[in-house]
Amino acid sequence: MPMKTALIAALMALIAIGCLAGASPSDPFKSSEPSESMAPVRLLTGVPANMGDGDGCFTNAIEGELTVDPKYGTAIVTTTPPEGLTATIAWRPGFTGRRVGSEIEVLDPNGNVVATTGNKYRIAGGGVDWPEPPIKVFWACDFVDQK
Amino acid sequence: MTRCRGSSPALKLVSVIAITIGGLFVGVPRASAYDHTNYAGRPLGTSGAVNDCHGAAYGRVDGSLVLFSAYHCNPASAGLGAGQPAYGHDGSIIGFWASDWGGASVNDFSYIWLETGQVPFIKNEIYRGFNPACPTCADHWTVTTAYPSVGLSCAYISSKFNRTVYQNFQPFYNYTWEKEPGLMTGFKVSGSSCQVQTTINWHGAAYKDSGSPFVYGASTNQPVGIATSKDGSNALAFSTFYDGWNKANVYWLSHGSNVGVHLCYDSNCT
Repeated sequence: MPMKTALIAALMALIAIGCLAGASPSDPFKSSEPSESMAPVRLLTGVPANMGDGDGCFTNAIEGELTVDPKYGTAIVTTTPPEGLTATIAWRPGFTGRRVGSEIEVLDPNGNVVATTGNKYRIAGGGVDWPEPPIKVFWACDFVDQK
Repeated sequence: MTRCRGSSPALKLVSVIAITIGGLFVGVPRASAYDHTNYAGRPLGTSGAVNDCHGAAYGRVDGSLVLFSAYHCNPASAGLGAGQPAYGHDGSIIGFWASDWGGASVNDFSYIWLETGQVPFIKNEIYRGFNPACPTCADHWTVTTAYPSVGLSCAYISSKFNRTVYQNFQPFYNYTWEKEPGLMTGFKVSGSSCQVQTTINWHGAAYKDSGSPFVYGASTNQPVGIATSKDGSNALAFSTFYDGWNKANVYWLSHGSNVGVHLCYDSNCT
């Protein structure tokens, strides 16, 4: 009986140590509390007027570094000639953004992260006149390939 | 600029030769090398926002030589500024994208003002690729009409649905893929935009279909459309060439002495 008690005590101690270790920031499985660093970010989303029901897409792409756009969420800075030009990105309906540190993650309607600012991508779509706000944007409507 | 002040002519000559030879080995950018590639039916080079669209056909706008393509290929369409350079397959600048004018962008239609010399010697040919079944056949269509037929406009094209259309698509500039046949099956969207759905498949993310020319099966002497989009099943659609061209023409004819828009319909594009 004392032996069994000691075993249970040892197991409880191990669990306690495990729980403390689980609080480490490096543990990817720790439960995440909502915090300011994961705050939602509003992206520009929708379908341009000339794309009907919106299931289609243009058949070319933009390539560059995804950056934070303080007004519309995300933009892309071209890395192919002429380099260094910035275009606001509009995403399909259902895409969302969230801030992670100083970067913004873009999530598809299923909650999968498809892009993060600071990285380089080739994104399918085309330039369009956005209905509201009336600005020119690059509509990201298909693949997002990291370069 | 450094001058050989006080040196002998022989020394100057040696210096010039040395600088010239040195330039060949240190990667000095090529200056104004003319590119006579025919981009009607071939992909352009990488160009910023809008990578590697195709040229559709050559023509004249307001008296100047241009290469027609899709508006969403124009960097200005994404707010990247008007007048951005357009690149050829070897990275040289072949011209500059036009501004958005007159609302032709609604029809996804635009063009590139070509630099002097940056044009093919024969300007009314649209490359269609090599036909292995007919090695002696021409590898191009020849445009012989200055103006696209109104019968190929959005208003009338529905009478031609379920008939054959061909897409000129080369994955890279020096490929020799033959034209691809398909059927025009209907309008993809309604309203002010006119995109004609086809049964031709999108060529995939590694390639760029946008801007590639379509020719109606019975009218190979005039382009019928410019590839612009695909549907959820990856079937390509094109914007009717007539409607974008017509909007451009109305705009240019309304500007004083301007001479309007026409396709190159002879080899010199007069």
